[in-house]
Amino acid sequence: MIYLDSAATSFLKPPGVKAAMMYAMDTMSSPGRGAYNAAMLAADKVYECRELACRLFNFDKPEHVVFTLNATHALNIAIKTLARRESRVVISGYEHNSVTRPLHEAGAKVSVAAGRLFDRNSALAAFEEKIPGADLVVCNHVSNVFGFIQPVYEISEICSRFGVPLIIDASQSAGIEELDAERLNADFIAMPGHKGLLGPQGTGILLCKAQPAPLISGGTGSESIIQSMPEYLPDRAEAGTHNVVGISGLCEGIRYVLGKGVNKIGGYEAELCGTAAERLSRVPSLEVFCGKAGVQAGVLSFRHASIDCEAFCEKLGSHGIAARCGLHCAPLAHKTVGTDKTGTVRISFSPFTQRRQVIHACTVIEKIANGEI
Amino acid sequence: MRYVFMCRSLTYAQSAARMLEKNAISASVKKAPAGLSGSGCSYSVSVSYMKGTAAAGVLHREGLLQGKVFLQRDDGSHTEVIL
Repeated sequence: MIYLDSAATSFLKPPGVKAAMMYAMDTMSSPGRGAYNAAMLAADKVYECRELACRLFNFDKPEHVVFTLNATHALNIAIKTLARRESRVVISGYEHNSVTRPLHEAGAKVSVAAGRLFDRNSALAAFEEKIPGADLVVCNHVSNVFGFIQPVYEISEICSRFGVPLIIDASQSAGIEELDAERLNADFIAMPGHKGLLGPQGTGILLCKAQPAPLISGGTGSESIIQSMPEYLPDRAEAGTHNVVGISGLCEGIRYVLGKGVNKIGGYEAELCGTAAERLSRVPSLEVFCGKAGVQAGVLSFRHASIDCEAFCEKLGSHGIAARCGLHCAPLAHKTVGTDKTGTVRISFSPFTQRRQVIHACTVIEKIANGEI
Repeated sequence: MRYVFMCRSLTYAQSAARMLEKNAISASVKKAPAGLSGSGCSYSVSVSYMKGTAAAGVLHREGLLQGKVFLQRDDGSHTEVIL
């Protein structure tokens, strides 16, 4: 299989990930639940992962690194902390349902700052217009459908200027694009562990500069007599037993990213994306959504003039190519670009995707597009 | 004898221990002795008697001195102290 669905989950992982998870299964129990070796080993591993996350994101508080099940869980904590009924919340035109659904559930009044695709100035102008008077801004760093790298640092500056809290969804950028929590003045930064951080499914991180409200309540291994959740992090947002096995794997994923370098990984993925975009743009029946260098990460969407994207993906699958089609849980992004009626076929890359695989996949895509297979 | 620094959570105890290690003070994270915490389960950082004052200085400077400090005697008894 040629796996081109890394924007959903990175499938190939660094070898250390599996080894660390097996080791955790054999040796670790629950952190914060005892002082015996297996509990303390687990505690050390979880803390090590917090420290590595701090190094990767230039964040100085390991205690404020909260482990979650995934980015959706992290975003729900952040959004439900800051969004209230009737809150005026500004979001980009490229948000995922993991942002729009919690906002809908909270009863927030959502205002979309819909900049043009791959046009950072247009995105900024849209935010500049909408942010004054807003109660909250939520924005993804990279669109999961189009790979558009949004100008989040500049957006955070506008938020700071108007005193508006900011939540960043780093689902497609963590481990791929530079993400500097110190520079990025966001209250919360949410991300999955199983995409660019190369960890296993069932892991996620919420970097907290603000105090979150607990999404769930329960045991934390601290202040057991008191019935309200602790006021301090990470306990406040980490009720219940940790996914120690997953966090052990995530730890190795982050270590790999740190060793390789985010810029190198992101540059490689963008290069693969550029190669595919250049090649597929030459096929007359395909509409390829590609931007200039520096505005698109390793995510590429396209659609065919007459072949339905589901049928296209099915054909790709039958030729051993894993891609994703449809709305990618981001109908807003499709609406912004005008692909909401058709959806798109999306291919996406990881540090383990080989150039020859991309070239082969492009050949297959061309043949399907031209009706040759 | 050792000094026991009470911490509000395991993670803070780990942060405190890491900070002490960075400052060349050997420290270990332990479950807090029963009865020292008024609110149930808790964790602590234990350092040698000789390093107690230096440890308190480091933790105070880094904002990690959050709870009471106890002197743990060899017979297992504890006395609250101010460092």
